[in-house]
Amino acid sequence: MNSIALQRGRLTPTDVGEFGDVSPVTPVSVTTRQLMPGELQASLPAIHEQVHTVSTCLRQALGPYLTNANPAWTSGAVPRMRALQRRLLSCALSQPEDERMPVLEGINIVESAIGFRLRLAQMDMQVPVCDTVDEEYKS
Amino acid sequence: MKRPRKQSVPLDEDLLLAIGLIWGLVQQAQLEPARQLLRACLSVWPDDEHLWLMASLVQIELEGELDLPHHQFLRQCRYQAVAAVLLRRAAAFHTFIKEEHDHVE
Repeated sequence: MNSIALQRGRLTPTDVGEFGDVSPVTPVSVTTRQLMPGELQASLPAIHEQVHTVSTCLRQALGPYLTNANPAWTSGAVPRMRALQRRLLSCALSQPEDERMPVLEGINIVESAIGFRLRLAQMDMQVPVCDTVDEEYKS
Repeated sequence: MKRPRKQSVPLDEDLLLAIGLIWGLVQQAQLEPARQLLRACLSVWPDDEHLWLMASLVQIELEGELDLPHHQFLRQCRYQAVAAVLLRRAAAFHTFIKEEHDHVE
């Protein structure tokens, strides 16, 4: 299979000094295996090979289910987060009173995560709140 | 897509969610909230390797050094690829701080 580059770049002697055929080419998605050795060499590395930072290492080590594909980042996360808060709270209550503070701070962090998700859900609903308010003012 | 890593014992639902949430905070460099949530979760699940791993990371980034329990954990945990990077980073921080200290003297 010919790649886009080859289709576009074909030159004839009469083309010298002229642009080649620049008619729009519909992009074709090509897998690595379909590339020729030269093209493969000229290609950029795949995204996951580009940066090898601590965070990418961590993601690879933990695997998708504990990171990007975790239920915490899906739409129905709020009830699960409430469950986590209950779990943390029951742990806090089982501890002596002066050791509870760190756990309560942790519950606050979960609370702010819930707040972000509720705000996002609110924005998704796209209720034209401002318009109705304006109309109320007008009347 | 890669299949999720097979767990020998399936993780507790709450713990699973907590790990995902903490990972997100670490990923966004919100290290202080990550540390607070880690501390809370570690009091519920004191032996979880995932939490320990991220706690080590956060400790290095925030304090520039590792305490002994976390150091020992990284030495023997099953995530040797990350652990090696983290230990190297901790060592680099340590040398940097030491050099700065020497420079002041």
